[in-house]
Amino acid sequence: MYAELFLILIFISLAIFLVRHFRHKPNAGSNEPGIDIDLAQTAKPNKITRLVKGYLDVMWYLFLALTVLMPIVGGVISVGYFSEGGNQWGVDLNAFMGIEIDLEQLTDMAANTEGLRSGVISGKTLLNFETLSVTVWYIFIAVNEVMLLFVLYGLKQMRDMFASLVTNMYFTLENAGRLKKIGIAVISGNIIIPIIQYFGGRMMLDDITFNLPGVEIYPAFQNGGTGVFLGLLILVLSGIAREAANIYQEQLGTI
Amino acid sequence: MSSMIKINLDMLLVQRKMSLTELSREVGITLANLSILKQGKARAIRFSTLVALCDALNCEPGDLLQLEKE
Repeated sequence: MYAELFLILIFISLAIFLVRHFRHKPNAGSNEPGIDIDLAQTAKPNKITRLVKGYLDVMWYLFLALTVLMPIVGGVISVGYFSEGGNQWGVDLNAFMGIEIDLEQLTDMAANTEGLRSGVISGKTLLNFETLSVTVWYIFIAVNEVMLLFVLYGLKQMRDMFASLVTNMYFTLENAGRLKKIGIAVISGNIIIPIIQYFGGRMMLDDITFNLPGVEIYPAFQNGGTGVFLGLLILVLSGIAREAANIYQEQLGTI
Repeated sequence: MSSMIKINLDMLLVQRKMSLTELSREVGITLANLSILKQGKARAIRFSTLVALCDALNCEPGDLLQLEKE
């Protein structure tokens, strides 16, 4: 009972945090008085900018709804389905796992294994499974909530940036700061999310038992190397954008 | 200790009994930009602007700009 109350409290705090912190801030403008008047750049935003802005808006509301609704729907499912006590209900979910199939151990397959030097097929991917365990379901929700928070943070920064791009504000220190935040979010997301996925997957597998010789499912790390590299590139870009904003401000302040 | 450039536009305008609007008309710089310059919020000044201002106010660049130590 206390655990449920605690979870509800966490959820309410999360919802308040989302509403307060992720409030849409379009244009902060320049912090230098007297220069604001001339700050809007003359070039018109192109259609692609508007299109991306619209897409980001849709994605933002979609992911916000997902973040808020997931614990609610999850709670309803867990209370409604799992409390019935029967095994007739299950929840379909997915997790990043490694899978290894030893064909030689599968007696029926052994005779048909040809063209392989080793009879082992393995890989890491998102595996779908229908769980009967409420714990697994809660872990799945928690892991996905963390991932959604990272996505929301990145989307928030991108939305703010594109809102300023649509109003012809390109080279501003705010946008450089937003790019930097996106870069940091991409890097930390690609480091933290695989770790959470790994430990989440491990906890999920602890609750699932099956005995099939030759088939092994294990928690796996998702390679975030490319994402980290992309984040570093965005950080470098943010430095360039900051420099451009400084030059632009200087040019604006030249009489 | 940092120093900054102070624009003596106020003093020169009073001495020449000229308003900012008149100067703006004479020099061809918008009132808004002259106001930024007068308030010391400008980051830089073009040589052409400086020449135009000096011509209009009949002064030397040194009369207009002054190094102020903080």
